[in-house]
Amino acid sequence: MSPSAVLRIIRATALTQARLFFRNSQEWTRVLMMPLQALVAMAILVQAGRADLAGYALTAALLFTIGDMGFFVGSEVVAGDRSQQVLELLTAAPTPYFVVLVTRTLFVASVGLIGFAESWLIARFVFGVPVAVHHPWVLAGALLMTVFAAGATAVLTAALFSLARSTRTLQNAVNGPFYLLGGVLVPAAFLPAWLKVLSPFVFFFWAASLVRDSFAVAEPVDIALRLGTLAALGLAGALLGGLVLRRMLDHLRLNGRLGLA
Amino acid sequence: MRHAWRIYRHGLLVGARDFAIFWNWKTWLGGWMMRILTNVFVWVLLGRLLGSPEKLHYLMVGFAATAGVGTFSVAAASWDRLDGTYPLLVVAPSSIAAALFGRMSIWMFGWVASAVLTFVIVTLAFHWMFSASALAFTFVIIVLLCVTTFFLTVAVGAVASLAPRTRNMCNFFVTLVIMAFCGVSVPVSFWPAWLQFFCHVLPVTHGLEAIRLVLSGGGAATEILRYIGLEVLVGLGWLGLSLLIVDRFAEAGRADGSIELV
Repeated sequence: MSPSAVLRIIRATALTQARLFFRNSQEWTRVLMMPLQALVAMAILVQAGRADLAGYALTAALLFTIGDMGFFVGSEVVAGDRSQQVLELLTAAPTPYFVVLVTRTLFVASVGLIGFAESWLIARFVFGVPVAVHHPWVLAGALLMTVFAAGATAVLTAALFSLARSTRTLQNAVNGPFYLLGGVLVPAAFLPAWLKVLSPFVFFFWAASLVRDSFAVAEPVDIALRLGTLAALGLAGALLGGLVLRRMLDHLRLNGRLGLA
Repeated sequence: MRHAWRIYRHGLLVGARDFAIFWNWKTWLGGWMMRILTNVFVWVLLGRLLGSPEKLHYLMVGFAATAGVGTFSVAAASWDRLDGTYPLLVVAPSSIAAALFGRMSIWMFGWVASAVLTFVIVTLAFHWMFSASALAFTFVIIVLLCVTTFFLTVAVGAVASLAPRTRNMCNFFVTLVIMAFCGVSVPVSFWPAWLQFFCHVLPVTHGLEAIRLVLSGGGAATEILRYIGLEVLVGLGWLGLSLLIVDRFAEAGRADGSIELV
């Protein structure tokens, strides 16, 4: 396929996903609800006299929202296509299903950015704490790479979940440990040593530290390296996701269960 | 009354099937408890970040004693509408309340198990020890605050079932409100006075106060009993309200013909 054809497909897929998303009130209300957790985090920090740590609350609300979109909405894409009987058509089409899936999970993850705006507004207008972004370029890079990593990881989870019978159970179980290990609210440095060693393998760890640093006055260090690691983790997730997706589709084809959900 | 009890038990059996669709004991322990525990640790670690042992203990009690409380129940109030069994329940001669309480309350038993287990694990993880009697009292109050929260979820669930699509959103709201305003994360006194009024008529607020007094070891018995009494009172208030509205809301669907439309 020519690059222009691929671009056309990506555009059409993104538009379709946008329509699906905003038509489904369960999904778009989720993205507005998640950032409300900033209310709890801000309350704890302000009450303890540490409004200066408001950036931590914003980071958590942002990553809770992006993570939720990836784990709950993005991960359901393949299972949803299967139960709505469109997976057979999509896999029979000349466009690789992988392209369609990546576009959709990336779209869903990017909607999670609302979490940042909403939690900033909560800090500003509920608690009267204007959170200054001291390093806007670091923030922009971090947000971009976080969305990429979340969307790419969702490809892997979407492929894995499509085989499982009880998707909801898995969805519920995975995000908690990732948030804890990634240090989305409290930096991973505060975890016990035996847990901390796992943190660098979780993309939330790099995302959280970069977003937090963009609120700090101090000049952040090793930005390129950290953004690169975040991107690399996302890429690894997408590649692994692609492999799993192929195995999974082959498996379903072989069994003739592609359209049986 | 005897009939109501029998209907409740059958409703509970339906609820048990709902529960089994979500969890078996392996996925409950490995999936659900993993999620609940990690979530509690995510918040409790703020105490470490703030470098204050009191804050750490405050968050531990608040988040562990309410771990999982309020989940699923509000949504479960709408499931009869989605299953198509709702019109039959409404036209049945008995009140819908017994059937609804039965199907929803299975989640309340889940909350008790989650909160008690989480409380034990989290306090052990931070090497916080209590006397056996303090622990026993805490468990009793946890059961109480699960029951009072359950009555609140019936009332909210009845409202949500008018627009079943909002069920998950309403459920999330209930858990968020408890987490933010009922003394889980910050003392109620932190919030503006008008908000404090609402905090005091919500479940959990007084129950948590009682637990904190029990665990501090310094609370006078009368104070503890006063908070327990207030929690009971709040629970009875929500029970009364929910009994008052469930049938009316169900009848509303019959009156305007929307009963089978979801």
